[in-house]
Amino acid sequence: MHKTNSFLKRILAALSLAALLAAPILAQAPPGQQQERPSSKGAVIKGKAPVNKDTLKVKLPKPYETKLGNGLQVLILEDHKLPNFSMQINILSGGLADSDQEVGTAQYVATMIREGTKTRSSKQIAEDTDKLGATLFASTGLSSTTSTVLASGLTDNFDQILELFADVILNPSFPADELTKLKTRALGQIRLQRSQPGFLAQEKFSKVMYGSHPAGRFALTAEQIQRFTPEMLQKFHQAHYRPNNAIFAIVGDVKPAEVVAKLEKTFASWKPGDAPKTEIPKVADTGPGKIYLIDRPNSAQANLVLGTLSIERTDPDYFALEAMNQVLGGGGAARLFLNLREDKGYTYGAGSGVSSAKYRGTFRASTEVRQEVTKGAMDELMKELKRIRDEKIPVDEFELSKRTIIGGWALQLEFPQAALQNAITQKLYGLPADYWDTYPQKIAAVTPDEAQRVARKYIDLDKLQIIVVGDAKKLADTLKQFGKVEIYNSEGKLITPAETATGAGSRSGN
Amino acid sequence: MKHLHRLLRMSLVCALALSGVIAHAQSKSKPSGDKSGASVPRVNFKEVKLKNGLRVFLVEDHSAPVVSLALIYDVGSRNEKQGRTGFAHLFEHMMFQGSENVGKSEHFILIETNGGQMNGTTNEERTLYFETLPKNQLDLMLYLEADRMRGLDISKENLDNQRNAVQEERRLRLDNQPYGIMSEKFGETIYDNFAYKHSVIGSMEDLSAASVEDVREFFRVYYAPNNAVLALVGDFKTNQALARVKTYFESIPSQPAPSRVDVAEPEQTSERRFTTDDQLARLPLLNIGYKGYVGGGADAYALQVLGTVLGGGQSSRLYQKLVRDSQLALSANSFASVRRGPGAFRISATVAPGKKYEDVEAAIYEEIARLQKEPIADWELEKAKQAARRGAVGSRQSSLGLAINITEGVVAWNDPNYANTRLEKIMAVTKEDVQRVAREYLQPTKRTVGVAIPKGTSMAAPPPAANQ
Repeated sequence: MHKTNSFLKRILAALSLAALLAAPILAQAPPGQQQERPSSKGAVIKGKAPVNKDTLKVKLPKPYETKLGNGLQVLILEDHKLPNFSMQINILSGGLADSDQEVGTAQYVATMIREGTKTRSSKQIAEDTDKLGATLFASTGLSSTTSTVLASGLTDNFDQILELFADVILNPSFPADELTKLKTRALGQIRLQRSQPGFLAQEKFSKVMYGSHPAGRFALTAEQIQRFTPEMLQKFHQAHYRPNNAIFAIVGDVKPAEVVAKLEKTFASWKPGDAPKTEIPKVADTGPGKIYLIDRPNSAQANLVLGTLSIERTDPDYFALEAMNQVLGGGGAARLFLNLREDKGYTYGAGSGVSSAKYRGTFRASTEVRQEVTKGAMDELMKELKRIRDEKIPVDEFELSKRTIIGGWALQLEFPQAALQNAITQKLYGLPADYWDTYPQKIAAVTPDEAQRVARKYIDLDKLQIIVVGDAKKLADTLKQFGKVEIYNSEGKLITPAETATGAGSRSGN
Repeated sequence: MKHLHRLLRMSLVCALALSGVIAHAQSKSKPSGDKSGASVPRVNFKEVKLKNGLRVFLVEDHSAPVVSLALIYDVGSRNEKQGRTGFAHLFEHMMFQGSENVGKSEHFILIETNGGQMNGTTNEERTLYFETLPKNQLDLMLYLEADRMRGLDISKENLDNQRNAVQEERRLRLDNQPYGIMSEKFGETIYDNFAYKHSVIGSMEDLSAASVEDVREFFRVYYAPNNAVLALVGDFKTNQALARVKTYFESIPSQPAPSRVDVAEPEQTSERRFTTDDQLARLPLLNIGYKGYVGGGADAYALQVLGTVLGGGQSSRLYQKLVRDSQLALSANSFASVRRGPGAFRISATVAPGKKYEDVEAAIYEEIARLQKEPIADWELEKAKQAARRGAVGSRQSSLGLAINITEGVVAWNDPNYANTRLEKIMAVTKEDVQRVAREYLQPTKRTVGVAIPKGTSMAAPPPAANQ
């Protein structure tokens, strides 16, 4: 969804790139020579390629904003490069609005609005969408704060697509037979998901980070799927799908005045209401660090995920964390990649990321390696996490790394939906009006001291949680060298508690 | 979420396109006849052939201050020798390991730390390198591509390092995924000619056998300017950009043209079937393929329409019948693969818990029989055409997308406007064409059927999920 937020723009005062590149940052120990610094063999910098040291100053376009009579906020960003458009309604209630007893209701509402309206059957919605060459879907995550309905297509089909879009938002009928079918499909899907190592890792990660906090909701169980009724969905829709609890946003080959007139007409019958406000409890700290090994027999790799809790989206540490993470694991020029792949050859990819939301997000480093090198990969991951905490990032390396974000800001201009998404994010989190205009400067202003401070604060090694998915009999003994290991089966059931964890006996039958 | 996106972007460095389908979802042009209105204009490009044979296409586009470069070498896994499967892709990785003036990994460090994006990708047909940068870094991207076209700095150590990375890529995408082995085995069964019979990622054994000498020889034969096509799209003045291209590339010597690959397939005369035990899967997967048409031929377009009608999106016949109505399958789709050589009409379905793959297979054949017996509905034809228009327009959203389209079109079909051409051909398809190709190509004797059977310990769970 957040398409292009990852690259950013703007002035970084005259950096002599040639000098930077010649500096020891990514280290150019000649091949074969042992090095002190972990990433030093991953790259050789010759510094001969012509680099323009300036960064482009660009300003992202801002959408036209208005409000309909019924309270619906409207954002319109014109872009006439191509005869197409994309529109969405963000309902300001998502999976987090559900009580523990009704987990997933928001998600089933979103999925079911495509499965029948007062005048269209499931099949008709599918046909009408496809014969217009349109995209139409709705979704929310179990731990999301919003639900999104999205439609896109070619400009000459705009009126028909808007009508269809409005129909599923305003008039869903939640037919009982379609709900039964959806549940049957979903019960099959949750079996398929359990065969994916990435799913197993992320599921455990969410659980370990958030415990019973609703932010830890990641996938539904069969029991949870079975309990949905049309009435539950209807009730949620009635309460939350209200114009004064929503933001409409469109980007593309459209004219604001025309769009507003059409919206007033199309959504005239949509009445405001008092949508219950989602209360988000504070996220509690995790306990001390532990290793969670999920047994996936016959795995060809170990998926390694290491993480801690981070910050809320509006936290002032946001920029320092972003800039710090860029150095550590933000791409092919970052330490984790250059070390674990380009130097050690342990993996196809390694990296890290910081997420943030209305509740505390996470810091997360991950890689996938052949199981024989699990120890080496863990050693290097730990070494890099320690290094970013213990050693101040060299100025040259830091300036270059920040330039990844600042220099890339211009690339967003190719994707106006990125600017629109920025505007939505600014509204959802109540960020200052000039937030995106000043974003690159704020990244540029982060100092190595601040980066080290946030690394120490958030990459708390005492609370570092480690999730490993792989063949337990090959991994358990290795992992015990790094801490207490609990072994789970791929259904999520604890099979060997930490005290007695051993490689043997972790797997029943074969 | 956005940070996950960045992580994803990172993990794609030197990605491998396993799909083997080239340039089949893009084009721009006017629809003919139907109610659909807006046309898609042709791309206004300048084409130049340098003295060394490098074909260059330039498109000025001032809508954003960026520039994108796509560079295709006309070599893919189909050019590989027996015993060296996976080599074209391993070689692609070596293109990031250093050249005369650029050190190991320096290429992607330079692109990323100047705010750009880049990657390399290999399939059966070609190897593609690309980058997007802010417009003031035009020289940087040209320099980097030209330096490695001129020559590589190859060491055994770097080859071993990337061999490891590629073997991990194989594990990540195939060996550690449910149904990963199925996809490889399907290709090995459906094709007879070695060119397409083996997987792009290659076998572990062959990857282990690749030598520094192999890398040198492959570079010499295939990585020559006269075996490449370059497209530059973005915010520049065409003549100035062309002058820069000439400065960097024109002095690179050409090489004798590589010999052509014979990709011809003998005619298939009977059905082929296999089952494979899948240790990681939890539900059976059914793959069906019909071989017998060639990518550039007229029938390939009618088959693409057929693929959309039968198995494209939630309105498709397979989704409505197998997934929604009978609930035999959790997913079902179809498409016509298009490549220079023999293509295959592919159908894939994941069998729902407690259901039999035999019933899924029978239901698929029933739908095929219906397509052979009766013409498709008007709305179904309209759906396929609208999808083609949408794809044509969307493929121009970014400078990079357009640059890639141009190079793909030239290498595969000698048609920089292939995107427009494809849309015109799709718009010309009739209901009769669709019925005719269904009859002609979807024959049991031209069929290959593969079934992945779950065999892992994880299958201990009871089949119906209702009361887990």
